[in-house]
Amino acid sequence: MASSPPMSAARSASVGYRRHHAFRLVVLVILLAVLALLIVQPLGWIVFNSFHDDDTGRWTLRNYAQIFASTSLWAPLFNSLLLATAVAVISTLLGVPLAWLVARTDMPMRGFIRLFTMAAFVTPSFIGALGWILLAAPNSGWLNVGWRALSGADWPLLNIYSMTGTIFVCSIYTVPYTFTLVSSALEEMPVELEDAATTLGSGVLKTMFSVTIPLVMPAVLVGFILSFIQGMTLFGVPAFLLTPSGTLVVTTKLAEFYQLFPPALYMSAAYCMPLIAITGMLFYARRRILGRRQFTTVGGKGRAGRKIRLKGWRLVALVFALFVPVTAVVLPYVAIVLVSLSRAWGLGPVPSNLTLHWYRWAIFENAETQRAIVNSLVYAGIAASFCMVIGILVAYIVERKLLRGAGLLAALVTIPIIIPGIVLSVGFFSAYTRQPLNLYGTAMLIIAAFVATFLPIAYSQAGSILKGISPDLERAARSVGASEARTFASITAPLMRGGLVAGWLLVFIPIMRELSVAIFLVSPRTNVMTTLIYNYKDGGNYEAVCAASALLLFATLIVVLLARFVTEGAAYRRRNAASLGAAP
Amino acid sequence: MSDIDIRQLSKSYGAYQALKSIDLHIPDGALLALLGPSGCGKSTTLQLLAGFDTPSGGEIRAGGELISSPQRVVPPERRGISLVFQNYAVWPHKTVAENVAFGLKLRKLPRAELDARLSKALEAVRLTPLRERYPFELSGGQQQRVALARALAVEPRILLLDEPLSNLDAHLREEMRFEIRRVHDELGITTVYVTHDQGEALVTADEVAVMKGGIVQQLGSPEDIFERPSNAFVASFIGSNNEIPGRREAPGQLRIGDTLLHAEDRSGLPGIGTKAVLCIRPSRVRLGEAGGDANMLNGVVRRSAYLGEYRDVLIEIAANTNVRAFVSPHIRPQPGEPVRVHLPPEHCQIFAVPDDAPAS
Repeated sequence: MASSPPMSAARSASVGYRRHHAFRLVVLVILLAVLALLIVQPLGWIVFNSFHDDDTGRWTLRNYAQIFASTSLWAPLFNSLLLATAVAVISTLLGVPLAWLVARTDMPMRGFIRLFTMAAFVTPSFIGALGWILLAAPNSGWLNVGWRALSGADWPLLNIYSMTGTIFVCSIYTVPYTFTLVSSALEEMPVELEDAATTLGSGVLKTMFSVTIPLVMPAVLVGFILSFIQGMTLFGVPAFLLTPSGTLVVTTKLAEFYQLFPPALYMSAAYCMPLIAITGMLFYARRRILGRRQFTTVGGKGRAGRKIRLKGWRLVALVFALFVPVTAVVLPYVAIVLVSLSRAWGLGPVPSNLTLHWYRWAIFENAETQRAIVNSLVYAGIAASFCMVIGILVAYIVERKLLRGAGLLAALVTIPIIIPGIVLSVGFFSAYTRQPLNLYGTAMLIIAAFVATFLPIAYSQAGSILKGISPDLERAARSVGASEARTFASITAPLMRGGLVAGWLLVFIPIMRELSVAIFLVSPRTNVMTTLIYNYKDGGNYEAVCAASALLLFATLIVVLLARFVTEGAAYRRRNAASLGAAP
Repeated sequence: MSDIDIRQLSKSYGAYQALKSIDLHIPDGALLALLGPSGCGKSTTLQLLAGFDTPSGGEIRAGGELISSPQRVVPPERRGISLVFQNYAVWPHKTVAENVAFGLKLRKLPRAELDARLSKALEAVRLTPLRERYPFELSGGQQQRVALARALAVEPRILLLDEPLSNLDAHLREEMRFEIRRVHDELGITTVYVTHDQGEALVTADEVAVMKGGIVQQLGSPEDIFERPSNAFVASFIGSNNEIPGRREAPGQLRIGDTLLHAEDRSGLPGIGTKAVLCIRPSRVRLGEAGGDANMLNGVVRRSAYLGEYRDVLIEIAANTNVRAFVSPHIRPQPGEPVRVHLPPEHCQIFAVPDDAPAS
């Protein structure tokens, strides 16, 4: 009968079908190419180089053999393990009780402590180390000067240029990781779980040990692992505090290879491997812990305000809880700001010594700092945007299971999480400072390295935004006639908008304060704030370094406040969407 | 408008067979309910119809045109099939009018026609006064009607409804059943309605397909399904039911304890002496009446519950064998009291023992 209209409809549909698949294929190929350049290529070169001899350029296993044979290569590994273990233990011992006090008790000033712990989170730790040099350098550190004046002793109370000093500084800036993980686990735990124990006659302490602590144990373990990784991979703090006394850790030893002439490229590649192996293993352990037992138990509703009463212990608890805010934020910030406002910091903070000279110098007079400020903002802006675009595309493909290769894409964008920044720096240097892609000294190289480093954050951000948008909202658009691309533009993108801005800022902030990834890649023309501060510090002009650091801290804090503002807006919108049954 | 022809459609997810070769024909303009417990394959069927998934075998034709087969799936936006979701999926960033007009805008209609069709769709679901509202300002029932108007505005040839009422409260649900039927009668669009609620299926549908384990157990009119179920599963899934196990002595005769019961034999079992079940609705069981000699049993009242419109009585007729009876509320049997139970043969049906083993 009417056989021709259906036939033609079928044919046009099949054309659309093919076009639609061609589009998907193009997107996939572009994504794979970009990820190959950003991730596979740099890591591939590390592996390739590690099996080559620096002198002859031939295939060899000698680099690996040397790591085991030579004490000068063994010692930094040992030091790193010592540092990481100590950092993990100390930040767990500080962070877990801190989280419990803030989340569960009636300790005073909880809001203040939470805010300042978060401030420690966004403070680049190498700037913290700088602050502590001002405070506790053996001769000129203010605390030691004060100590000598008060006690009349001729020896310093504190020596920050030591393993102990390094452990201390790394730990106070790592506590926020443990704190955040454990306090959110405590807050998300339904209050009924504890109430159930209480109604069965269990006392406060008994409930804490038999219900609360086992339930947050995965968060504690994950916090321990992340702290350990921090201790292994931090570069700035040991470079500032340990290198002057000649003690090296893995990251600073890697930097040393690059200071040789010619740089020991191939040896450094092999030396990256133990670091990657350890972080890889630890992330695997973290995954296992999180996979086996979800500590974010069901029902994330806000807890009723039933707090454990500390009674006479409130002040003791407060003194303990103030330790991290004071040592990680108040003291170093005060020191840095005061020095940045001084003509010469040796003269001490007296009115005649105060000046805005160094800020004027950094912003208006000195071309290097001007360029670094602009570079930091521009590179971070571009890198964060690229990160989010790739993150969204991959998350969309994975969440909506659009392509068969989705798992591979997800694995690729997640790999950098196990690669310490300094190793990625080595990788990008190896891959892109040779023909045919010699990008050394270009902005592109640094931006690409930033993108690769922060892809995992961008991807997980985009993923969590997409999880909040029910696929049915998209299917509804498809079923009334919208193509995949049109659906993304008209439905998905507008619904993601609030979350995207917040996600962008959450990538932008860590890029602004990132030092180790950029360290081998910058040239005088492409210096960013962090690398400039790192280089100036060697010059010993502390007033200028502090002014630049204060500017970086100030810029970061503004962006953080902005992020908070936007995130809360997005959370509000998500609640609205959830109340519509949009979120599953 | 068009009919739907589903032939030998199957879908597997790895080793799990969600659909095992189903055949269904839905005539042009009909309303078919796909009814079954969760995991029965009804939602899989709907996803395949909408074009969100690729079948593992078989094909779907709409109006004669092949729209789904393992080789080729026409994308959802090119099928002319609208879908209404369980969670409404009303876009929170668009007003009621914008939600409904979205599909029309995609078709680049002239302004006047777009407005006319938008108004008609809003009118059909009685949402005209709320057209400028945002979804979060609407109740669940109103959001569901936005979803319906949005699906209807594009004048689809087929409308799919995926458990559209399950998120509404009981009162509204009852009202919306009739609303959906009314809209269907006005527009006459071929409609597939997926639900696990037998009440919804019986009220709204011309035909009901009862599914279980990826197989269509029975396809028939609501009366057929209720009065003449094709097996014990269908009998128990639709409405309340007694399943009394016994031994089939002869066609139409089932022995329970030392009583021989007469019933319509729908078991299709070959031999005699095999295990079988006798099904009867509790509302058809009579108590304490002399209904002749046939199918009379002695029992003891175990439980009696007053439900206002009727009384729900549980009677033990043999060891581990109970019968439920819905009787007039003025009859007041007491627990422990002996009672005569009458199972009228015209309401009794014999079926094979239901296969409750997990589908393999």
